[in-house]
Amino acid sequence: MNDRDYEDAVVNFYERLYAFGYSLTGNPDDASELTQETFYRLLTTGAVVRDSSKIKSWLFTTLYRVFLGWEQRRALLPHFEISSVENEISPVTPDQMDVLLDDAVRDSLLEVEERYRAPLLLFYLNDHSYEEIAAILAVPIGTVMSRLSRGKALLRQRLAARAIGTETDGKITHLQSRLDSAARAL
Amino acid sequence: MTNEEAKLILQAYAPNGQSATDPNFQAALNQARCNRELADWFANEQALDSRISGSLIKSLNPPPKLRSLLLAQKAIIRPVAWWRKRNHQLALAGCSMLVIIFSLAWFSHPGPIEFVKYREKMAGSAAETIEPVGEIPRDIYQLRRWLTENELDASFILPSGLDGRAISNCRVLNWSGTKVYLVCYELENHQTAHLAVIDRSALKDAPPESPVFDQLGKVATVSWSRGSHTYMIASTSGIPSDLMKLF
Repeated sequence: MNDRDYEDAVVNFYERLYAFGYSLTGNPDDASELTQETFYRLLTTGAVVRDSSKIKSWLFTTLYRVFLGWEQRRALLPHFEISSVENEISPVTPDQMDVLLDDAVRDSLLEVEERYRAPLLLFYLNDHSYEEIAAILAVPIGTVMSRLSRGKALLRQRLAARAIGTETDGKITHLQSRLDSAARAL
Repeated sequence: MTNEEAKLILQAYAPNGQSATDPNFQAALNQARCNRELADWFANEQALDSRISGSLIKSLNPPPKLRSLLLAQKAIIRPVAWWRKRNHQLALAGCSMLVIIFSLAWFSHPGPIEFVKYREKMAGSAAETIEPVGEIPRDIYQLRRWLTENELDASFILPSGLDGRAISNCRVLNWSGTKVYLVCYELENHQTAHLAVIDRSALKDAPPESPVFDQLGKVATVSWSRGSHTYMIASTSGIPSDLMKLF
């Protein structure tokens, strides 16, 4: 890999890799370190990636494997059959989403279990087909689809809880300001 | 397809519409066009996914210095030539020993053998080491080219997990009139995968088409047949999941 290829890879993919790393580790420092470690491996073993069209999947796969190494989890992730996944309809609505800040959406995602969080984030980054997600996470396509389904339901439950909390906080603030106004008038 | 099945498929539909041309979604999309309830559900699903996607992309921005750090990294770390890396040297040494041991075994063998013996010989020899030998193709493309130039069969089909991986050693053997290709790949954990490709008809009881994973002592193996070839990979890591990831 020459310098130009490396720079292109950094410019094109580092933001999404960082986001993926953040979703896995839950904090910006570890996400940065994961991203750096991934690009370090590209530099030191980059000759293995001869086909430039495969660099994206190589980077995401490598970052995920580095993360798994960190976690010292050598066993394969559990495999869930589609038939075993409940079809849960989330109570969250697009209107409720309006009251949520972007950070609250991120924090809700971080509350979801990692086996669902990783495919969810890759899906929401809009960069990967479900087949590519399966390759990155080294799980069958059916597992990706079931984890997306279950993961979305879990994420929306958390979003709904936050949205209700935000609405309630808003009403309390509004009520408090009205009480303050009334008190001043008296 | 029921609406519930269609929903499961459509939940993987990318929020930015990039799945529109994916044939795997077409049946479910057609059903949504004809079914009001499903169409409403899908529209709501897309609206939510789009908002969540936008929020996540905005809220997961990397710190400002990260890009500079990554770009500076290349000035600090120079790639090490693959043949100078200690783990690669060890892998080369291991492969070379394996190749020599197999060479002796194949050349001296009187005729076709049972698959289980073939597998045991490979697995039992996978951890030996010796000095590296000869010039080798760096990847599967070079190997196929070399085979073709030497009028040998290069039509074998490898699992996707071996695509693009560097080859650390390889050898073509002539055993009872049958060519056997031995190829060594580096795995991520500094271990080595030893691939053997043989004509399917050379074995009395070739393994089935679906991969069969097995553990022989400290060596993990997987074997399968496809078309006119039988394949086997032995991993010195002894971890079956290292082999599963190759498929």
